[in-house]
Amino acid sequence: MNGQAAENLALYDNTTSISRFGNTTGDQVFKSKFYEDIMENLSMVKKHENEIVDTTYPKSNIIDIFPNKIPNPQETRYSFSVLQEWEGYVVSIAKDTFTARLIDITRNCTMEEEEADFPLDDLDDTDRSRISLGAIFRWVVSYRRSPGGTKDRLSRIVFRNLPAWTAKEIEKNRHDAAEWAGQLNVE
Amino acid sequence: MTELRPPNSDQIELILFGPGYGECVAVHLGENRWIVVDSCLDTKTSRPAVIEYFSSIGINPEESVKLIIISHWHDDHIRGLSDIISSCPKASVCCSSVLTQKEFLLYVLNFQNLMTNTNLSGVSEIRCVFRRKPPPDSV
Repeated sequence: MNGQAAENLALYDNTTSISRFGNTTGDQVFKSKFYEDIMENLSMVKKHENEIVDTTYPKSNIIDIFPNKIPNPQETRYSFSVLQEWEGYVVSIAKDTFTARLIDITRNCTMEEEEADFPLDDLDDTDRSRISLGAIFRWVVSYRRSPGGTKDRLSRIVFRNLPAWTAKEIEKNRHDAAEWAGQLNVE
Repeated sequence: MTELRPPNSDQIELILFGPGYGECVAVHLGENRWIVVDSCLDTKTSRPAVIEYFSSIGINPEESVKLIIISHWHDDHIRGLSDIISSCPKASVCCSSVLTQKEFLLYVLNFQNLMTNTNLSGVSEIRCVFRRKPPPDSV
């Protein structure tokens, strides 16, 4: 008997309730079956001990399931450091450009002190289709560093979406507005 | 630096303030009676420019300003307006009746805290004007 198997069997002898009940015939049958099982497992291990089994899912199958390329996390680990950030609103729109007044968020300004023209081509397609007078946006200029150390300067304009309200909020505000209008001392 | 002096009681004076072209106007009608039209902020102090001006010439707005006119509520014409109204408790406030309709007030309530981190929308300012509350530091 293999040494490890003998140890396992001894451990089994000490812990199983069957051996404690003293059913000799039953014990012998059970031990015999248990021994055979162990020996079979050991022989299977010996048979495959020199084989390297790849338990990972075949890559070809992954591509079948996910036809788009799965991004490598290493490729997406860019770091950003913001150089300057403004909040602005659109004051005019021309054929190829739009003009906006800007508040310097980086300097914690609360009033617009600058005005700038932007090419419409700088906008995403979705933003370009919905730009309108008074539209509010963020303009961020930042450095982007790639995992390989490449540094780019980025300029990004993102328009703000209108907030969404629930019907309950609208109804409450409608009630408050009516009440408020009644309180105003209008002559 | 030239020292500013208040107009004589028999003088009409018209002062334009603003980063552009008169986003705020102060008119001396004579005998220390003033009208203020709209408001803009002094960029150095962030206080209403007209209140800074009154302070510099020794005018007490609480007694002297008789009428405040809100011509429209574009951002550049409304900032600091609630401060002016608070500083001039004896003044009447005149604005378009549209601004007192419940539809407009509903708009103000819907947008008062949602637009931006800065005071871009002016909604908070108009809310303070009607509520007679000082404006918050930020929306």
